[in-house]
Amino acid sequence: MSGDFAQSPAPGPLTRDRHFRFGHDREIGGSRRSAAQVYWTEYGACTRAEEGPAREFERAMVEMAACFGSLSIACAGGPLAIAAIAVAERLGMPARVVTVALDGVAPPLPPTRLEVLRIDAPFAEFAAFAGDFAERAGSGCGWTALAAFIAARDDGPHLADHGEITLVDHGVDRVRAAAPAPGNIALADAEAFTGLDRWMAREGRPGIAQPLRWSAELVAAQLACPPMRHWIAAALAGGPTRARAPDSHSARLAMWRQILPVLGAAVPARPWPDPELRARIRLLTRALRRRAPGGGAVHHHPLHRLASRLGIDFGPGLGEGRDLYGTVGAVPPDFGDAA
Amino acid sequence: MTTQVSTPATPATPTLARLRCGPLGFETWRREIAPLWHMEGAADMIAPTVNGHGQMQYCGRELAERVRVLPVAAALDGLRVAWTSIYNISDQALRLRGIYVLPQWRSCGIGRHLVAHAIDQWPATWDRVFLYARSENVERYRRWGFAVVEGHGPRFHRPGLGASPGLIVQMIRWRDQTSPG
Repeated sequence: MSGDFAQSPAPGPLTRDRHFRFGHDREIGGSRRSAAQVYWTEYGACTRAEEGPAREFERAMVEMAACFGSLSIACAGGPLAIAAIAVAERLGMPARVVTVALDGVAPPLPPTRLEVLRIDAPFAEFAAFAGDFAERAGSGCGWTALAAFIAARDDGPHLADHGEITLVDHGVDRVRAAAPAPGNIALADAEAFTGLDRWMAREGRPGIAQPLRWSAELVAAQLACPPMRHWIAAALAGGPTRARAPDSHSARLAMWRQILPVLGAAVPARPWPDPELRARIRLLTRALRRRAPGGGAVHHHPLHRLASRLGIDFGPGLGEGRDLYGTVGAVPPDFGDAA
Repeated sequence: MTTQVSTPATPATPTLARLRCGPLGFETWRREIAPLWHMEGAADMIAPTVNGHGQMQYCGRELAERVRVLPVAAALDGLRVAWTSIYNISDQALRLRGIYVLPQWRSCGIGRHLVAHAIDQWPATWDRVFLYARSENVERYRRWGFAVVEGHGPRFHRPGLGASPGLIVQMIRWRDQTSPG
């Protein structure tokens, strides 16, 4: 995947070796300039075999801390932050925790010896920030806005609690809760999520917007973990439960439940994230979408192609994608006179 | 709809003999096809391609490097009456997106002729063509040589801003079959 694109210099996603990239049409890392531009993401290839999500997450934490010397671990109520706090504490990393309480409601925070900076703000203040963020970063996602809100109120190297890896099954019709087609699985990257990358780059804000995409090996480890494999197998096998799990949300949470104890963290008794916070962010997201036209795009990376790039063996058959829709060769096809 | 597109004079010769198919600029194409998706006034929201529930096999920058979009239209006596577009979703497969014939020119074979023209622009390397058909159009596309993709059934579809939802189903035509034209 090379090409004749002008390589944009620094802005955009900060991941190891800048393996993760995003852009619109032929532009890399910038903001959407029209509602019709095609959004895309790319992942680099693994340079070694992945060693499981817990080990790869720990490696990533060490490497990310080495980039900045210290980390400000944002806590918005997600498992990523809980894992990061545990690893930083256990390995004695120079780190602190930054969390936010909106109208006095704070995400659950695990007990920690790390310094904790708690930001108290009215929800209305956050909502106003989120509206401006949506327009400037092209992101109509309330969670991404919350990640930016935390980053804006702390000057340390930001480690966002944000950007989970999600697979979707295109064979499921979410609206009708039915499965009208065979399994066809893709990694779904929402454009809204990289709004944080764009915002941090513009603000000159140090940190990492996509910790779970830090390395190709960490991405591979999350995709190849047992809960994700189980979800993939269930999607491909069909069956009555498939339509109720159109994406890998439950597998993602199951992965965290498995690896948090390995990383030295307790699995919280309360769900991720806090239900009250979740409800308020959901309402806010509806309003934000109107302020980021076109920013609701999602790039779908066919799983069989991503698995090949990352060196993951999912066994024979990964849905109908390749067999039905054709392949992509190493070199561009001959278009003849077409287009 | 622009005023440029209006009903031509009463046909004096058989319609298809007067039909001319050819490429169209994307900006013009999406402005004129917008009624199909109930997006008049919001044509700038229409992207050149869509993923089509996992059809697209290109990813990353390949979407800009490898995908060729060919908007086409059919004109009668110089006035455009039908539109479609076609693009490659892999090195072997094509996607027809949007087949729109002005209401007064439907059931004259214009859409079928335009689709055949659009497909014929591609080298034989692309051996299959997909489309999503609204339920009420499935039989029409069967007559054009398309078949519902095995294992696929109707799924939800909301065609555009404020439009009523409906059902669509994916269909395929292999190019070694008889031309739909």
